[in-house]
Amino acid sequence: MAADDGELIGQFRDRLEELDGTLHEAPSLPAAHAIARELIGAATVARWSDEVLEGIVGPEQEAPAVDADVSLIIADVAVAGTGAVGFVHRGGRARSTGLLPPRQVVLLDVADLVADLATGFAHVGLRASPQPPPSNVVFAAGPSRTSDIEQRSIRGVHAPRDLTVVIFRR
Amino acid sequence: MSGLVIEPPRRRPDPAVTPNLHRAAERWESNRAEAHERVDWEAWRERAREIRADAVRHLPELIELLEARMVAAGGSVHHARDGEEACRHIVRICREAGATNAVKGKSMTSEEIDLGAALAAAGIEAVETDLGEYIVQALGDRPSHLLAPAVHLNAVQVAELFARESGRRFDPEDTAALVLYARGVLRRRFLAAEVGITGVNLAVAETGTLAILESEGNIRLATALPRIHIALMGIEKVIRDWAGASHLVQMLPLAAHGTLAAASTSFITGPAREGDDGPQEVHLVLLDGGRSAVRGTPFEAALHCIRCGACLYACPVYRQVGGHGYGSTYSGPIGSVITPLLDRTGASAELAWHSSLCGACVEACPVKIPLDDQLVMLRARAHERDPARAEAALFAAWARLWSRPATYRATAATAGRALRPLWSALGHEGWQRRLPFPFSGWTDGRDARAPDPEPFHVRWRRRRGGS
Repeated sequence: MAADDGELIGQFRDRLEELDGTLHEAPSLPAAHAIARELIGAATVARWSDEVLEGIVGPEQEAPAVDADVSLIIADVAVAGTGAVGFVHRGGRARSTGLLPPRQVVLLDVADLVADLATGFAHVGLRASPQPPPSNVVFAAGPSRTSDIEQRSIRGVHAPRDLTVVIFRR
Repeated sequence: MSGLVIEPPRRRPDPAVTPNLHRAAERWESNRAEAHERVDWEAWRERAREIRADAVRHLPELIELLEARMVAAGGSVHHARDGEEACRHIVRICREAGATNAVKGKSMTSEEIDLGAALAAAGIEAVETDLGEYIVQALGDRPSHLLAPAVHLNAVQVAELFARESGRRFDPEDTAALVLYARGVLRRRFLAAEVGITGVNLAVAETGTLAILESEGNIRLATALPRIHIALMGIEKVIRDWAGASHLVQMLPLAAHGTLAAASTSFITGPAREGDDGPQEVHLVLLDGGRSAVRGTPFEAALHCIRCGACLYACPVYRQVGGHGYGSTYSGPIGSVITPLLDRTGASAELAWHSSLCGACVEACPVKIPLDDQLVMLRARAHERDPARAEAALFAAWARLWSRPATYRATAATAGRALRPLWSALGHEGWQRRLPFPFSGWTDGRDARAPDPEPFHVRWRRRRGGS
């Protein structure tokens, strides 16, 4: 954990809030779990399989992505300069999980918060290398939105309407 | 034939929705002001111009590299000389997969090649999934802006459409309910679709990666759920590397909306791997469509365009006539430049005159395309090809009259005096809101002012106490 974390987190928070997203800070993973649990409440959840997400909700609360109220996923990277979180989709981390439910809770390890987009690309393997980059990487900056009807801004079209990031330290 | 869609321009926008267009342009202007505070705009534009100029200068080798890298990642690449060939590729891919059910993301390139008609003719049902495009498609209309396809429509028209479709009633003021309805309809289409068809904002040659920016999430769904993804891209959209990509994926939303990041940006390198739930096949259809022929000409910079739509909102002509006033897929200043360049039939040469040459588009352009210079060059080119002798004779006569003081004074004063009775007959002086037929068309969109019976040069002489 670097000394200037606070500044980076502050910048990320400002950008995310400008984009109608929400940020919570947790001093530890268990504390992050407690925040996530409170955000989810009694809603049904679709989640990625990863130990970071184990034990937040019980199996009785889990549902397939197409029916779930909330998606519970992990950011592989976050960019302080733009407020975006990045997801690398692969086995156990399905694209549809983070896409179909209307609300989204994203856990972010502070070690994955970077200053700018160019650093963020390298962080998730979007760079020249002998191996191809991941097949699908998505950067999401705030909830999905449209202004196609008379320029009125509406949150939540096909992707999540609410996006909450919980940043934690190990 | 290039396949580029050209249709007769509509004479003027529906007066009921012109305010919507003006509101969109004003919103763009205030977003732009904020964006300019956020970054060193001039340095950012220069960097963006360099990235695009490098790409277009080295286009053949970068396309070759893109193809090799994409194929190595398991994707397929198809080359199309023109729109018809691109449509044939897309129809063939669908047929080989036995697919008849497609979801489409917003793509101006697909409008350029009239893909919707080709798919319909082949019995492939392709629903537009961007909200504005969905509305425009359901009304049998065409998009009127690069990024805001339904900017020429108002909420009442949308509410009426959705009511016809669903048999339910909608309040035009309840925008959230309109959006929620479209979400529900389209969600069912996404879950059933076998093919997702999208455009591409830029392609990174060094890794064979396609980048697609969006606001709504429909692109993410179209590239997550169906088993086949077909991406259609003009060849000029390729860039060299990730350093360039990190700049342009911020510059594009900055120029378009004043934000540094689109709501979603997807980076796609080949089909799904390692048990991921994405498409098993990813196809890239690379459209030339007259672009190669523009390289190496004085118009090459027009290929640098990243389709942000900034020059449209900046343009005083676009703001008045709207996108449909151009009668071409691409409207606004960039449309007036690239349409005649890509369309080899000459039918669109007149577009170069849809500009006041004020240069607002040049200032707005994030890649510094000299649109005003190019419009002047296109006018000269059109004139060389079709000299329009009667018009030339008229202008020559006018120039002879007004370049000599005696004939200028005589005719300028005559014009004012000749029209004066018309205004007096209407019972008003000065500004007129409405003129009778045959002049009523002019006052539908503007006021008319009566010419002063005493020309400026007469008043000037009097003020200076001359004779």
